[in-house]
Amino acid sequence: MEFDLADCLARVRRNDEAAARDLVEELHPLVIKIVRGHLPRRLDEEDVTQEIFMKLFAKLDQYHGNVPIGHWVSRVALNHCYNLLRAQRSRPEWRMADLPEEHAAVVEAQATDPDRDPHPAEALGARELVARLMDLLRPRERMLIQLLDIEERSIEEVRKLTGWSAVLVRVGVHRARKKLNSLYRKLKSEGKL
Amino acid sequence: MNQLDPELKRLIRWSRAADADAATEAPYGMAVRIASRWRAMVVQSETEPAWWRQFQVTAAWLSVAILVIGASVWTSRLETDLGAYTLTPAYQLIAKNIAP
Repeated sequence: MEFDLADCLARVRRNDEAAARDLVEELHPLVIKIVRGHLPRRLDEEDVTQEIFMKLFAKLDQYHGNVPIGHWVSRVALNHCYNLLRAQRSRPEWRMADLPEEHAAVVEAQATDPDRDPHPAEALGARELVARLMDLLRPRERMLIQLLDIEERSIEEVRKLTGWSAVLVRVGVHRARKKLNSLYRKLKSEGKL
Repeated sequence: MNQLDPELKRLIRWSRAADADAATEAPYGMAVRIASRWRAMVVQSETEPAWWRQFQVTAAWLSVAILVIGASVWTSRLETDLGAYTLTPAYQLIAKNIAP
């Protein structure tokens, strides 16, 4: 049976618990992708997802259907993730010496044969390396790299999702890319990758 | 707007492949937990009248205001009292020896 969003929302507004369960099931894939993409793996994704859903239910009266529900949910979830990142005052520092050898192997593999698809282990290694590099960025920079470079969204989309101005997005991503590039080059020049 | 290093871009493309396989369905029982937690909140807000919540907030702010005002009045009185009884050495000398 196809999911009837309008009906489900109406039932949730009448405090129907079964409808709330259906809504969570329906929106979970969208929310979990945002949580996984924007927050460090060390945070408990299930706890964060629950907090986001509680926020969504609390704010449901503010949703009037002017934009697709996915867009509204993404905005609330992104905002929550951004606040969590900002609240983490001290980001874990990692030393270059901490980099496992697998990372260097992944970098070498993608450099020697750039067009092929990765093996699952290589994909995991690449994800971990990218995540570690992203950990060193400021919350806003991290979010912009995630949205523009990893999820390949347009500046207009990012502007709508975050509520930041186009200038802020452009300047922010410029700095973030510069920082990420220099960090990566430094690791390579030191022979860590 | 500068671009990412081509090698970094490729690493990002590879990292996407790892994320593509990850399960996105809600874990078993999670939807039930969230829905019942939300329902409990709704019930609590239904049983607690709006005027009572408003009263609690107002009372809390009022208490804070009284504490702040009380503390400032007490501090200013303390300073005044100190001024009345603290005699400078020069004044004490005059009071004892010159104009008793």
